[in-house]
Amino acid sequence: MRLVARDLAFGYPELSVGRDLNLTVEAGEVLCLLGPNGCGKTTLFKTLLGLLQPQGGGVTLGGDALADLSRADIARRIAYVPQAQDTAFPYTASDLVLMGRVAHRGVFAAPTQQDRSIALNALTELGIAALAAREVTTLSGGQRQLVIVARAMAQAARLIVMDEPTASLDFGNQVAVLAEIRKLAARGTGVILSTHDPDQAFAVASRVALMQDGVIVAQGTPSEVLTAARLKAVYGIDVTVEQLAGGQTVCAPVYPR
Amino acid sequence: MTGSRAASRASWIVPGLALLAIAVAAVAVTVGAFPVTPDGFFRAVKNLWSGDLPQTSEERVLFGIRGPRILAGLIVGASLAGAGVVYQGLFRNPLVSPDVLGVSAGAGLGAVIGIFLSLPVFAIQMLAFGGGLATVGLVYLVAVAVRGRDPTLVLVLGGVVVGALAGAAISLLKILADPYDQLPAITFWLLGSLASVRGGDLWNVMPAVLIGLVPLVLLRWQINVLSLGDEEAKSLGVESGRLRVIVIAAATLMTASVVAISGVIGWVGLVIPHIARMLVGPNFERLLPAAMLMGASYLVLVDTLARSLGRIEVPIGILTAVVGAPFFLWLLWRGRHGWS
Amino acid sequence: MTRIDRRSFVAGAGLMLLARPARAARTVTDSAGRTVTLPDRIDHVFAAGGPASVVVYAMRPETMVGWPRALRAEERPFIAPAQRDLPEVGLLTGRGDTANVETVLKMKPDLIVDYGSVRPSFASLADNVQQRTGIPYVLIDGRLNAAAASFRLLGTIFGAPERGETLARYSDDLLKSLDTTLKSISEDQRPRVYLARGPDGLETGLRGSINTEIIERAGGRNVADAQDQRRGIAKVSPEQILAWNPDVIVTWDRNFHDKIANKGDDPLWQGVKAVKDGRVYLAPTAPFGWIDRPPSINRLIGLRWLANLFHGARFPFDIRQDTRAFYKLFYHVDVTDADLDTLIAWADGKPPSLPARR
Repeated sequence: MRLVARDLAFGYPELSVGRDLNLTVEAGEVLCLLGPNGCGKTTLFKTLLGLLQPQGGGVTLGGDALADLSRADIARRIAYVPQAQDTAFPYTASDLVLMGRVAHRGVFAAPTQQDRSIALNALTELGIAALAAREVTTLSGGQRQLVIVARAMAQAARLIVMDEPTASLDFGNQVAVLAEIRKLAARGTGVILSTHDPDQAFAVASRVALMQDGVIVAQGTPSEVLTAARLKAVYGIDVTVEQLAGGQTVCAPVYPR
Repeated sequence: MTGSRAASRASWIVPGLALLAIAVAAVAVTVGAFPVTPDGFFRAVKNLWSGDLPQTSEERVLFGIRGPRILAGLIVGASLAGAGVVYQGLFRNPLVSPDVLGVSAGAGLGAVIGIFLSLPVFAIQMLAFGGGLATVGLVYLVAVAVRGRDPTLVLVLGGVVVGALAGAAISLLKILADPYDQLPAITFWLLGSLASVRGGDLWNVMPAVLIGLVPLVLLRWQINVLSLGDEEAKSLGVESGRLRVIVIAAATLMTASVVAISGVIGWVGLVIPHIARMLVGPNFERLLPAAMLMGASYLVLVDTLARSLGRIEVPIGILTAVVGAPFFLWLLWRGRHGWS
Repeated sequence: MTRIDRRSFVAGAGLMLLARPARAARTVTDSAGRTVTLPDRIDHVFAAGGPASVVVYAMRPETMVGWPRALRAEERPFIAPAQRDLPEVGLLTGRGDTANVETVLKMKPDLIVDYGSVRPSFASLADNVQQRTGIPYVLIDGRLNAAAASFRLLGTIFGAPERGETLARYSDDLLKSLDTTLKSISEDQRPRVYLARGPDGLETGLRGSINTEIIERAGGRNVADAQDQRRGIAKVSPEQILAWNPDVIVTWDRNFHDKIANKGDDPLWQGVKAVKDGRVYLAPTAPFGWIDRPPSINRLIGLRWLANLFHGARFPFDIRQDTRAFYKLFYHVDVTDADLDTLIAWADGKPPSLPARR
């Protein structure tokens, strides 16, 4: 399952956000999108998911143009974990995860027993099976986010788009989600995620795209792209990129003395 | 087991509500201005069983007047509550009732025109039905033409505007109407009543209600997803734009057809969905039947009060407001933490 | 004899000059006890509402400046040609008005007449309108029993005492003969009557309301009795009507009448005694309703008609002759045969131009 964006121009009907965007993501890869607030990450994601019409160029998913696919087709190929938001209704966690299976059933059908076990498995994988019967409005922001990730997993799509998935999670849960992303990739699911933290890119990404003002200024492996010079150019701060004893690369900001 | 506690809690609530509706209907059959002895009651049932035409006045009362009226209460209450649940999910807003897109205002305008032109009852009902459908159709056209970013917001605003126009037209017709003749009839219609419902009306209404209800039942999980919001629904594979049209059309069909025979009855479509959601949660699979059963019981209960408080009828729209409004306030006070 | 003080003479003359000039004025006391100053001659009258317009039309049609509501096509044949095309001027009763006050003033009426309730609230409304417009406003008692007195008062007001006396005598004779007949009819001999309003017939007027006082006056008993002294119009359920089981049903709604006049059609009403006995009567409505709409002197002919329906030969009524006479006297028209047939169709419970059914 390959997602290809070719010469993509994207934005809202009255507003152009980005242009000349070329991107490829394969199943099994993890692509991290880094960039400052307002550079167009969310808009790009929505366009890649078919939620926004491209203003130029096109997107293909598994060889088919996005415009030719039905919503259910798209949903079976690519899933979406949006930025943390309030859910209006007190669905139970298990019901919410179950909704990820809707794309696999006909329009008039209800989820089957098999769907229910897939949903429960997703919750168990993320360690939140105990929350299954809880109403999501009673969960913390981080727990709610995990439920949405579980839903994306239940959707069984080969690609998942995650918009700042670790925002509002505590430190432990952040790591748990990142570990899960690595597991997903190992199992053959492709993940595109956006983040502010270069460390996360180093931790999970197989490739990184650095974005500024709607344009990708650099693409490649984390070590290629996330250099001190590049990060300073995009974020306007001094950082230092170091390799730790265990082989891990980290990126630390340099505070003025 | 997934969501076991919620599921098992809900699993006896819906059948329980069904039993409640039957019980309320059974009690309502025994209440009324015309004296029916238990003897007469059994004789009447026996006669019905053997298929004879109604002979005694008691049979006429039970099967010609009370029976259809109670059935109408069940159907109207269920339809209004069901439509309310659908609209509240669709618009993700607890203050929404089936009137949000102006169906009651449009039906009212149709009926008022019929009364103003001194037309027979059937014509008035058809005009009400047509008026309700036309109004929502107009609102939808407005929404399509405006094509804003948030489709539900545009719909609601369109409903407010078109509803206000219909209301203004109704007011104008009230001024022009004959104050000794048409104006009281208009006033009573707008307050709602089940008094003039007869068996034939139910036969007319049922097809429309069923045509509206069936898609809602079949699409229940899609409607669940739709209530998450337009974008999220699309990302989960739901064709939200098309689904919205179907759902609105179905709910409007149900509402317009019952308003045509009962007049404008408020609060059922607003308060009952809330209570039902408190009991069984927002999952449409359980919420729709729960709300409809509750709505049915509630309206039969209120209608029984309306026709037994005195010699004359208390317009049912007044009673549903008198009972519904304080309850709604209590709900608001209790539900400070949001939807639950 | 005192010497005329020059100053007081000048003052007196000045006062006379400042006083209202033109026509000489007179005062009357209207039915609400209000003292109203009127010009000597009344040439233009504005009828404040429906009931008043009927009375003014009956008394002095040539002074009418307009109708509150334009005449419908079926009403026109029963109004004198001179008044058929008068403009629609709206209501001016001080409450829910549809008349434009400036338009009213432009018409320069000498008098505004209102006919109906004379309770203090309406009297104060009358004062309100009089103050706003500067036009004398008289409020006349609209109850059936006060018809004769009201005619005489209007005769004085309009400067047409003979006319007032003629109409008053008609009312007096009618009410007196009715009372004589009713003296010999006991309470339980009087038929129980249901007044069906609206297209479904479930709207009715409660006993004691002005909309149904004609029933009791004609010697019937209105079944719609809300014993807690409520009045006005209300809705009832078919079950309640069955429980009441009236002897007679009167309606003026054509749709409702057609529905239950064919007995086979409506199972709900079949069980009602009045329907079973064929005693369902359609009240004529042109040019004004015989029992209401508006509740004014147009009900006098309805009173005759109902009394005959309720008590048969004990109160004789030749529907064709008496109607013609009434319409000639009060409405200034000669009703043709064809118009009369249309007018009184179904008024005796039988289909028009068919032999008696019972």
